[in-house]
Amino acid sequence: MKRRVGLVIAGVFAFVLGAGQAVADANKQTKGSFDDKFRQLDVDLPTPNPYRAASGAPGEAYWQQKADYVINASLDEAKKRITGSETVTYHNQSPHTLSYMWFQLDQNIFKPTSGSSLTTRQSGSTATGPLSTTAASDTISVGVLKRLQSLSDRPQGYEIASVTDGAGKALHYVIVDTMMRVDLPAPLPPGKVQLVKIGWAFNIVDNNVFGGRSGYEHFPDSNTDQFFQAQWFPRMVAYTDYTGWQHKQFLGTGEFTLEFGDYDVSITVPADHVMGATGVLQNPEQTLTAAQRSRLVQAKTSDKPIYVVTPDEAAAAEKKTATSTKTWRWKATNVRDFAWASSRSYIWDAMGVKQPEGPDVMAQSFYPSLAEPLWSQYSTRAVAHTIDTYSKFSFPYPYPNAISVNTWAGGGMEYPMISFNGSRPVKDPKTGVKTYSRAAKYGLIGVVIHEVGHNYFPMIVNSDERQWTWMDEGLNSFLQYMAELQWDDTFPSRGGRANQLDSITDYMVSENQVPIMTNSESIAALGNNSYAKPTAALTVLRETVMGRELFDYAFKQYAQRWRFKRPTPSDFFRTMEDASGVDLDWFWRAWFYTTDHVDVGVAGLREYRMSSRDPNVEAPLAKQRLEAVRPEAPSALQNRKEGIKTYTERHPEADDFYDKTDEFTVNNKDLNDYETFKTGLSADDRAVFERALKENPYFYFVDFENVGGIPSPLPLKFTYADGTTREAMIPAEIWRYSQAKVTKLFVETKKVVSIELDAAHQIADADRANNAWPSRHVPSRIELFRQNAGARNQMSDALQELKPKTPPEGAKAPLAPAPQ
Amino acid sequence: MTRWALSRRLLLLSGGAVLLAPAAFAHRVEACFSTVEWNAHASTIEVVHRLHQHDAEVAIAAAAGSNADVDITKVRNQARAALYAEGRFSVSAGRDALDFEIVGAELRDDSVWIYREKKWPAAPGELVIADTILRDVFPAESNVVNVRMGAKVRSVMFAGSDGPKTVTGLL
Repeated sequence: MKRRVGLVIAGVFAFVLGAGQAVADANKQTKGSFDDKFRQLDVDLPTPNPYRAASGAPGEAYWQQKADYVINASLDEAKKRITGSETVTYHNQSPHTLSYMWFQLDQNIFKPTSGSSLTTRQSGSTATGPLSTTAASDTISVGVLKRLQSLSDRPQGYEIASVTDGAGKALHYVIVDTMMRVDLPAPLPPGKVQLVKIGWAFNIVDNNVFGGRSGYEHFPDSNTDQFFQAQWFPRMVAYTDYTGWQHKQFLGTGEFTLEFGDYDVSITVPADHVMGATGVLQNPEQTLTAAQRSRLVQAKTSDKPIYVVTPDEAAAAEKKTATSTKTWRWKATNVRDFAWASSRSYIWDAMGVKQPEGPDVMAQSFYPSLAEPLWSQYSTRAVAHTIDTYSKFSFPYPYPNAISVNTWAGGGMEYPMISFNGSRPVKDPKTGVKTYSRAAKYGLIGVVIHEVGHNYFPMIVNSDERQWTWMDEGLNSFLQYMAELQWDDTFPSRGGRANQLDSITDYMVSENQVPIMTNSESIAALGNNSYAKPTAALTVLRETVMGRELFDYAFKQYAQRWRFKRPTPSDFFRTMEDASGVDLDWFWRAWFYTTDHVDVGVAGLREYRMSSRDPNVEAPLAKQRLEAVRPEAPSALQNRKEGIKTYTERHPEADDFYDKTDEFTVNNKDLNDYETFKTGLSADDRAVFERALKENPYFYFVDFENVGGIPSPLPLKFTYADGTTREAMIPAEIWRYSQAKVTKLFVETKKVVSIELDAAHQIADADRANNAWPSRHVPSRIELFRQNAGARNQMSDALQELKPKTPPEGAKAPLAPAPQ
Repeated sequence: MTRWALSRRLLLLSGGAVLLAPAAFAHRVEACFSTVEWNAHASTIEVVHRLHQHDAEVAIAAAAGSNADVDITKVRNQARAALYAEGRFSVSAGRDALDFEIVGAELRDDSVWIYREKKWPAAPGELVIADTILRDVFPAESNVVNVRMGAKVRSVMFAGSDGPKTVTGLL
């Protein structure tokens, strides 16, 4: 073996902090403690097959079913009831012969006997996961009582009137909670079509009492209602290559797994209603006035919203109730669901959206007067903005309509081409004046972006929501964040900068967690788990790990590969790697399969210079260094100041060799060793050595610690003695051999005075106290807040004024023990 | 539990905002996040509450009995939110109910952040926490509190009818 130059280096100082360890069981060895956070995901992902390729793309034999619907339904406004019939044309495009078909009966969730009702726990429907261990106390809310009373007055759930084949012959069926199995008269072979006709009815829930995603809302001021209908007809269960029929029961959180198909839907409502729905209206002449049709034509080319139904017209409509009915006929092609909203109270506005590629889209909003003056200003504009920004990340919006309906006070819900959204102004009960806050404004823009954005994920990139919430909510929340920042670069912040990577850390260090890869009905802390954490993960991926160019290309590939198809998590993971050329197995594993968090730190730093090994040069330097860190003993120093002579000074004859030399005195052995070292170097090694001596760089051995467990890239900022700075990015793979602590050598031409880790807050680091060398005090949130003295003074004044006054001592009410 | 207790609590609840619309599922989930942390530097226990701005406005409207001016961007309404949270979040160490001082509140991200602190001689190893913030407004409200007195973060959740909870093993 060729002898290498051993760089002989002399330490100047060392600075070492303690290191932490974090482990995740899944990857641990059964012997030893090594935790392989870079273990490849192949062992956990499903094996690629002809349906789903190893690249993450649909395979050569990819298939999905198709379900076309013809629906006739009517709304009984007085009884708040829907009666309908449908013909489902089911195309078996799978390679399998089917003996039965499964339908989703989502309205059954409201029955007191449903799995959801029976398993609702007293401690609260959202108290799920690792922290829900305490017993509930015995209380009941008025809301629960109201729901119980409502159920005894009006039964809920589907009333199935008939199930027949295309010829009208009755088919045997079995209802299993929110699912219904229909047994076929003969097995349905691949490539064949089965017709099933179903007649049904149900009482519409009062959304204020039952919650959920649809229902009716009563407007007491005008004594009118709006009806926003979703999950309102028996829908085909998806039949898939990876799980067969996806008939996991609807328990309330896991949303919907559906097939694409074409819809022809006729809905009969009171004649004075205005309706918005999935699809294109087929009979505007029978349903819209000439003025409304004319305004719609104008709106097509308008760059701002135009009223189709004005506030005055809506107010006038509220004053009467039609006794006749109208039937609205809608057609929609290649959609996975159908929803609609209808009311005589609706104001309606619209504007055209021209796409660089893709069809022209009519952005529209329907809202009651309660929603004004907020909605006419922002809803439709936010719809248009969503189409613009989301398309850049994915594909052109493929549908002709995109609708936002104001259905409740907060939150939202998505369907193809139509979404139900909240955020309303508030009304002063005394003056009647309606105002909206900045929070309500940004709340509306945010929710519209989110729900209209769901057209892309999952309405078109049709992921399995019943199984994985993050695949639509997470990806969509990430794009919502991108779109919000493009609406207003401080959105959604009003008091400071918006950085999702700072706000996610409290959740990620908490014990209230399950991994992102958790079934939709079992998720703890749904908002953080399925919305905010995936948003943070994808933001770190885009801005820090992959970079925008690689991320955007791969993300778009995923969206385009799977548009109008059904991807699974592995298809997303694999596509992002396959299209970018970046191995991200460690990232998916850490962020999606564990509850680790990001907390990396600078644990220590040691600075070195080159040593010449020439004893005549090095010995005096070594002495200087020693003296710098170990000064003369104070007593000896004071003795000399006081002129006290030592014994050997008074008796020089007692001196010997040891008094004339010290450990830094150069001797013959040192000189011989130096000669041996120099002559032992090859010509090449000598050249390297001498050049290094000449350049005389600074060597920094920096220890990094990983406390949180997630392997993270290390964004570094070096500050030099001359005041200049340099940024560097160390990829996460630095942790592949050592998950808790690693040392990295940096060779610098200038002296480093400080190193800061994650100065730009780009890795979601949860604890910044260990992010700098030399270490510095990181102020707590309260200490940071105190620095903003102006706001605090105003706050003190307000608190002083608002705080309930403490009664004087004598004014306290006398208390006596209660009688037993 | 006796029937008397049931009816008594029902009366308490009926004054709240049970008539408000239940949460829609597909967007933001109603949740308030709080931290209780030991600041060794200042020898204080620091409490930080983070409420979504719109939720805070609804809470102010419910608590104040008027929904005319709830704009949380106004410092006065942030103070209202701080007082609202103060009355619905308590911490006890041993026998001592800690009377935190409100340091202030501010808007960051999409939330209103409320700051409270209490001078205390040493980090406690056990705390009893009660958190009813927004639970009188939203039936589905689900709150999480992270407690960090030493190196470890312990989390506790409050939802449904949860009462005070003891958090142990903090040091």
